[in-house]
Amino acid sequence: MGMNQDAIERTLESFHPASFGWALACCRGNDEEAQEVLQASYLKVVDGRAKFRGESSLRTWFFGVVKRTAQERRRFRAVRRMAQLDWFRGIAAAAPEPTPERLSEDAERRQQLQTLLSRLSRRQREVLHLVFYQELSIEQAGKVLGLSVGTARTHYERGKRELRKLLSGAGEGTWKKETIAT
Amino acid sequence: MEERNDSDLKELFSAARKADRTSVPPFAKLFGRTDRDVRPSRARRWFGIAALSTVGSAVVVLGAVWLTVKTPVLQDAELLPEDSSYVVPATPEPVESEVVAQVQPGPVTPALPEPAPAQKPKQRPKPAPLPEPPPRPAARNQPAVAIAERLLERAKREKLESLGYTSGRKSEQLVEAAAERPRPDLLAQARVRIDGVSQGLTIYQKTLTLAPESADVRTQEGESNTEAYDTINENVFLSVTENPLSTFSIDVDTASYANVRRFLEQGQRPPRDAVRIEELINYFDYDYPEPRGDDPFSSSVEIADCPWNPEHRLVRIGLKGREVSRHSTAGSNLVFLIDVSGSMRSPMKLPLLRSSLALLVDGLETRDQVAIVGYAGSSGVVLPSTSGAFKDGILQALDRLRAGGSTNGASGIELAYMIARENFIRGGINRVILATDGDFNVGITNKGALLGLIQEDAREGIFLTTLGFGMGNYKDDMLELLADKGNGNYAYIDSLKEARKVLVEELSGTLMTIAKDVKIQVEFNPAEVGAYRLIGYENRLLAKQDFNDDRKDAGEIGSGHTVTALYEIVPPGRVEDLPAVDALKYQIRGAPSRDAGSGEMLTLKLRFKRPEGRRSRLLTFTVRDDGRGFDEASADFKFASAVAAFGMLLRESEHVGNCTLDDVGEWALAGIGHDQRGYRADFQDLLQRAKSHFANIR
Repeated sequence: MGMNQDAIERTLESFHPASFGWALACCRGNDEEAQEVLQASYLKVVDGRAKFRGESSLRTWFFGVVKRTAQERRRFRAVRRMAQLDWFRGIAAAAPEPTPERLSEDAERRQQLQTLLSRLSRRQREVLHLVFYQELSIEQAGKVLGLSVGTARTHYERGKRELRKLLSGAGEGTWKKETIAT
Repeated sequence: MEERNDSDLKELFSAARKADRTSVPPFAKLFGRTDRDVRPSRARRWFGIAALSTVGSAVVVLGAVWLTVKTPVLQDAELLPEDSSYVVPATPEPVESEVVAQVQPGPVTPALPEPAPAQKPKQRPKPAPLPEPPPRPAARNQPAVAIAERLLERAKREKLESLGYTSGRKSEQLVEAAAERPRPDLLAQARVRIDGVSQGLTIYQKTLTLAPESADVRTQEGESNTEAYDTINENVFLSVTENPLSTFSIDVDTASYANVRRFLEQGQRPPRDAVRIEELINYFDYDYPEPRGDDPFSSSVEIADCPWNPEHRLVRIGLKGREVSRHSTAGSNLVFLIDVSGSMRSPMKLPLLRSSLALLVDGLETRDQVAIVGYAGSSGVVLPSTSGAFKDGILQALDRLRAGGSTNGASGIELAYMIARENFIRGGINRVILATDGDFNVGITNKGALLGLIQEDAREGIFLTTLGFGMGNYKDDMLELLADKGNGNYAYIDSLKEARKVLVEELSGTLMTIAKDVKIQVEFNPAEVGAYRLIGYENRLLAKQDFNDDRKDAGEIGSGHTVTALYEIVPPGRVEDLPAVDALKYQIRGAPSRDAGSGEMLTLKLRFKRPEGRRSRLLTFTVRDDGRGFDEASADFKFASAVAAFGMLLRESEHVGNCTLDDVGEWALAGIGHDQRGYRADFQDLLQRAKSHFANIR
């Protein structure tokens, strides 16, 4: 596929919102972090550190780039955290604070989903996001994450089961309370 | 069970998606930063690592604090006023010194080859088309011409960028600023600089081609009448013994009617080849029965006297597509591909297009996705794929469209299809909507490659709708061909009323294909029919063997669409007027089979595929003539035949007999039926107009 840089850029722009969603998922919903990851990923495309060879769809490829970028930044953050002495205090990475202005029902459910997902394994979380949120096929999700179809499917099935379990658990607790309050 | 179980998760995730969409940062904020923003952040990182490994934890703390507070820096860069970037020194400087001054020994990024004054904050560090800055002595030796050419090249790029089309890096500020004030200042400065470098060189003349006023001149030349229509050779009477089978593809396009109306309203006579009779007939809705069972469409046949030649019979074949609610699909993924070249500047083009598409946008839902691609000399995304929930954003993007530049439809088409593919909605409507005056300075190198691209995507489920606007250099033939190959439809929009018809009232038909590759084959019984003539559909005729060949492409029918075809029939005893063919020497043709005596007039065969299907289905009906006169025919029959006669009069057909516009008016009035939306009444107005303007149309 003879895609030039300009075409790639414009296509990236066309699914920018989806990419942002994926970046959010890779950063556990941390908005600021997601913006930086996405920016860094775009930069990789621009300066040629990440090169699209047309082996898969542009989207699958770019999602892979975003994922790797998030990973790199996570490692780097570990060093930062160590520097901030958090590591010595044994404080785990704080779950992102919900931004206060999000008050809509969707936002509430998003928050809910975020907390539930954070209890799944990273792989499961990512596969579920790619399949349900991005509406990719399991095969494509596997491509993004660099997994075989079989492995991706296993993570998908287990993730679904886990999430359901958590959902039914949540249904009795926090979830209900919130609905009554509204 | 699997499916049912998953719907709750899907819903949960889609709620999250909706919430996320409200806080997506603009693309331009994250993309296309200048290396000026980037370099410090990188340097910072390197510095941070170095500090970490060498100095120790005390320094690390500082570095980390520094890193955590870096965002504001980025935002500052974002807001850099672009004006500063355009400031060009009043006096031209020698180019070599500029280049050298720019070389930076930074360890991370290569030196920027661009001279400083024209560097823009938003320019991304993509490899510039300019050569690497040569070392100083070489630069001095470089001929002045080459330097001037480079400057010119960049001036051209900046000019285009200032109009907002080249980069696709749709920094909104850039577009708005450019829309508010096109940059003659920039051009003038570029010219001054080129002058300074290459006095007396012909380059100066080249800059003139960049000047906006000269673009206008070209546009006006383009406006002179260069409309293009394919020649139509009207179908002739064919003898049933020689040609018992008549095969053609359906056609739901309506463009010709609106185009003819435009001519008549301007007091001009439409060119003969602009009149496609089947499109005139299919412009109107007919009251055909709803399809039964799970057939995607119904078919009905009516036979009565032919009004313009009472000796002949007229057969009307009507198809009606099932009405499918758009709400029952998984949503629409629409990519508008909009021509913003200079020729679109007239009020009947881009402004009408804007308001037309605004009508369509009004009807969108949250799950629908809309993207807008503009194309002129080059193309760019005006609006990335956006949910129908954000109507305001879509409407604002439409308002930002401005005409200017030349046309390069092909790269725009590539881009639009790419976006449609990336945002494909399974089980939904996926469509590229091309709006243009038809002027393609095709850049995809040739028509074949363009059609190949369109056909390939049509196979994958992305269809193409073409909307024709304006006049002057209108390329009717090209637009029809594109829509035909793209499994789509083609409409001509000459007024907001027409836009409402195509994009609001018939939106589901325009967008939702319910059967594709619909072919019609009629076998006439020689015992009942002497000769026949298909009215219209001249460019839709198929070879008889194509009917059963599923590889042969044919027309599509949309939700609620009606398709009408008329045959003029000569009874067996009255064929003496036709040019005779000698009897064959070695074989006997036309020996009637047993069914010839059945009294059936014809057998109608239909083939179609489901929108996603690859194999066709066959439907067969036999039809008898009940001998009714024209007066006993249905209103639809009368009206369709009136429209056909009108088309034949405009085309100066030899087959129309002695009929006049008055006759046509009378038949149309008799066939006015319910006419809920008043289109048939409008047809009367059009007849009046034709009559008052043209004494030479009877």
